[in-house]
Amino acid sequence: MKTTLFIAAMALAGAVQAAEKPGLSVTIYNANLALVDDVRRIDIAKGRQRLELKDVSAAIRPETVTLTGLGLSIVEQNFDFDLLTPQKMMEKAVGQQVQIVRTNPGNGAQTTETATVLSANEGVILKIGDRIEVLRDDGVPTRVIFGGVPVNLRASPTLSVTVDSGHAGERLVDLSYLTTGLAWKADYVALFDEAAGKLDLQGWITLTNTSGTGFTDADTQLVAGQVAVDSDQEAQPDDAPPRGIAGVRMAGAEVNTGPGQALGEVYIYSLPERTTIAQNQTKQVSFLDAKSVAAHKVYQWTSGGFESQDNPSSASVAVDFSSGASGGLGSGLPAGTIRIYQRDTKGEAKFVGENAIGHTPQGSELAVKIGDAFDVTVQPTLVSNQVIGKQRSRYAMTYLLRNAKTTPVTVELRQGGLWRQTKVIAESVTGRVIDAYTRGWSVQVPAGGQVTLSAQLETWW
Amino acid sequence: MLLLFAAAPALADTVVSAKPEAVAVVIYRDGPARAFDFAKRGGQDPRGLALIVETRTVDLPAGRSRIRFEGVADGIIPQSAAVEGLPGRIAERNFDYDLLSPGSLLARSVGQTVRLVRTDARTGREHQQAATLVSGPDGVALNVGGSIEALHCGGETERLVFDHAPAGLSDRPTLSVLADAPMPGRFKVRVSYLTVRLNWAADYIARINPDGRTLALTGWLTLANRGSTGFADAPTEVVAGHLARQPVDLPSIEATPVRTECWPDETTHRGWPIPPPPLVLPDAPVPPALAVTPMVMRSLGVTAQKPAIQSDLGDYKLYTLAEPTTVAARQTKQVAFLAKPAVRFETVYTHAVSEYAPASGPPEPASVTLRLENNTDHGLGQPLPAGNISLRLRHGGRELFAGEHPLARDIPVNEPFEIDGGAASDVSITQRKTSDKGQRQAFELIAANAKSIAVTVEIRHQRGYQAGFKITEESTGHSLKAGDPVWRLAIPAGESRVLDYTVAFTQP
Repeated sequence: MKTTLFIAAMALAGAVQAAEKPGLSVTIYNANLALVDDVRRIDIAKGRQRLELKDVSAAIRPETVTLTGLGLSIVEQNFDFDLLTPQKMMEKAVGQQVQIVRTNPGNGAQTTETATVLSANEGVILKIGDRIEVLRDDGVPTRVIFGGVPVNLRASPTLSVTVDSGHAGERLVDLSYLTTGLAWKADYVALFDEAAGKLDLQGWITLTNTSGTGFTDADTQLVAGQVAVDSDQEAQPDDAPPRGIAGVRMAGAEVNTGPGQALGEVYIYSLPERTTIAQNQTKQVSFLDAKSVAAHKVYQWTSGGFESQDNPSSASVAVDFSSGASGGLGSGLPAGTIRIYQRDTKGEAKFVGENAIGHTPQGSELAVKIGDAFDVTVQPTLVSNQVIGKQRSRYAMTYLLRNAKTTPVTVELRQGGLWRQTKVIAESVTGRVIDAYTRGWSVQVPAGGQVTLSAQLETWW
Repeated sequence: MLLLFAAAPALADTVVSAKPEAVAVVIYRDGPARAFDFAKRGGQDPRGLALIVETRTVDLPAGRSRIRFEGVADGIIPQSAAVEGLPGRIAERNFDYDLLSPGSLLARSVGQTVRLVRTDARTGREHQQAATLVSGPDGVALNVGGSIEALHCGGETERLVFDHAPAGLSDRPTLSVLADAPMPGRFKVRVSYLTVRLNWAADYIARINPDGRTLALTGWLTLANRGSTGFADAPTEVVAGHLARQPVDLPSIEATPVRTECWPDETTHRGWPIPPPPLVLPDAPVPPALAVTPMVMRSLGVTAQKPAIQSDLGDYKLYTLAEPTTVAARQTKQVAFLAKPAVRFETVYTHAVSEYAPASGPPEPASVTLRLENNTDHGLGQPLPAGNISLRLRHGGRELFAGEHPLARDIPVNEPFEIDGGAASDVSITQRKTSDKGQRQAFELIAANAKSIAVTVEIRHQRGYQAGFKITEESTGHSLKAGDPVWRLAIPAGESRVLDYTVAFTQP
């Protein structure tokens, strides 16, 4: 039970820090999982008793619950999710007495009788005195009054814990558990200024709550990075070192507000203020605002094999920038969606494309593809292919690059599909090795013009 | 009794902005949209994309306020929202979709005191009692003075009266921000966000002029709003080009349902009806596809006066409607963006030869291909967003529809492109493989022109990936098209021509 171990360790760390005053803290992971740490002040009598803890998440994973408090030992804990409904009440009343109130349709007079519920299968059978009747057999309005709500039936899922307390008195009790239904991701807005070679990047943490419960005034932390989750509930060897545990444990003591702090294998972001995460709410909190990050646009066109195309196809457009400090950003970026905006000729910022980014450490190079260029196209032609030996061919390709823009462009052209011992026989523009199986050329295409790149390559197949 | 002691929430005044004063709409194309499809799809389709920019004015007190922006589009992608123009920092922004409904009203009132009102059916007199709600929308149970009763299970006329609506429930999904203002004042705020359910398509009508060498090309933008939010008097633009997209992650906005089940209620005479024996019906005839197209809730506005103005947006094309327009809910609107009266084209009758076709066969109609060059010399020279082309001919003084063909890709300026004109009726090709020596094959093609004018026929041999491919013999010279050999034959009216060629290759 790797997860349970891991979370127990976290809960302990949290308890040591948080047990001084009541409050709610929520740590949300990317994978639709959150650790709730709920410190409550409860008056507890001496001896054995049952504590009912309402306002817990409806999506709680009950096997992860821990409850700690001074002088408390846990006898048993139950999570009741048998919901209170009229049907359940009647089923639980079988064999018990209820009050029957009949309203006479003729004169409105009410008569009350005591009845024993004999069964509640498809219809309700009652024993009234020494006679047996079916409830509302004559259709006359008949109310049923129950003496109380049966134990274990709840209006909302409720956690009940039987504890043994060494002393009586009010004290702080730390309840912690894992829940699903809380998730977060990052959303970025990048305003790209192509002429200046800059982009302004804003980052927002987006929290969503579909757990069925709101979390009021919670101290909220977000964990970016892979956390091992024992999702299939299979037993794991207990001595397996849980990934990321060291970082998380340290985080409780060290993380401040502001940009994410890198700790071990995970990043922790703390929201600067306590916040309320309501049920059915999407909440966004800003965590990054960087201006004038060096960025530039790249046109790229890639062919995975040696073939002709009947029609030209568009080059893709990507915005390249670095998360390193030298480019002006200097921050790791948690996984999420980045939406790029550019200004139109009137200066209005308009959406020009979006893409996903993974967890990105500081100092990484990013190439965010935003779309395809309307005006920059490439049409490849396989001019000839010759078999020149055992499993070896020579391919002659031409690539017609067109640019209908009013500015010259450079297209990064990539020819993949190479195999062992590739040899360049001829090329009209000097290319370079991208990787073992890909050759690349940077081809300049004048404004409103076209250029043909030709290349002859030999490779295995 | 358990108590949850929490820090007192930061007090925030709520400021409501009921609707925008002005709104601008930029519609993107999502997928290979065809105007014809817009009428068919249902309202919950998450396709389509638009950028909505709203201008709103808010009066803020000093300190922290919660500003509620009501009336945002129903297809809003909340995480794309941006709010600019507030004087201070935005602490957080929220999108609430816990809607006020009987179910959520019950759910939020559990544990609270309500009034249970019973009406005497005979006298009409009302009888009120205070009661505590002990369960919610899964079936209401009430604590009435210490005894527990279920609502609406006894056959009496009962209703619940609530003293107030619970906080935090809205009548529709609402965007809000928590913002700090250093001093009170009136602020003009720009709220922008992406929304789904708006889409557009490009449609072209190509009328072939009587000269047979030029055509009149008109282009229409069809704007479709399949959402339930309209945008009145909005400066409207559309973006042509292919944008990278991520799967749309919309919150599922559903009201809390109420279950009305009571305890089992069969009696000695009232139970489930005996199910009727299943009827065996003959298969119903399938109605023709056009007949099922729903024609309700749809209006078609045609604005023909001023064409849209084209400019660049990054590497895309932006079309700005000449005047602000109203893009109403569930409406399709058309605006012209292109009108070229005389676009020069060439008609070529084409035929593709495959090595794998039967060695001989009957005459086949050639394909009609219209060749165009997107430049000003040929009377065009405008970016052409991908769309649909409807071909029209004039014949005997009336207009004939000559087929509808996709323009499958965006055509930039200075690129050649083709329009598929369907099968020819008077130009036929007879294909025969005359010899097969394995890696050397000979073909004979007879092209016949039964028209009263001379035509150009193009025969294309599809070489595939054959290694060492070459033409060893040919009755006339060839050129290359996308790596394949192509022979052009000029055939006078009423005549036919024969093409012979031999191909050789080293490996298939």
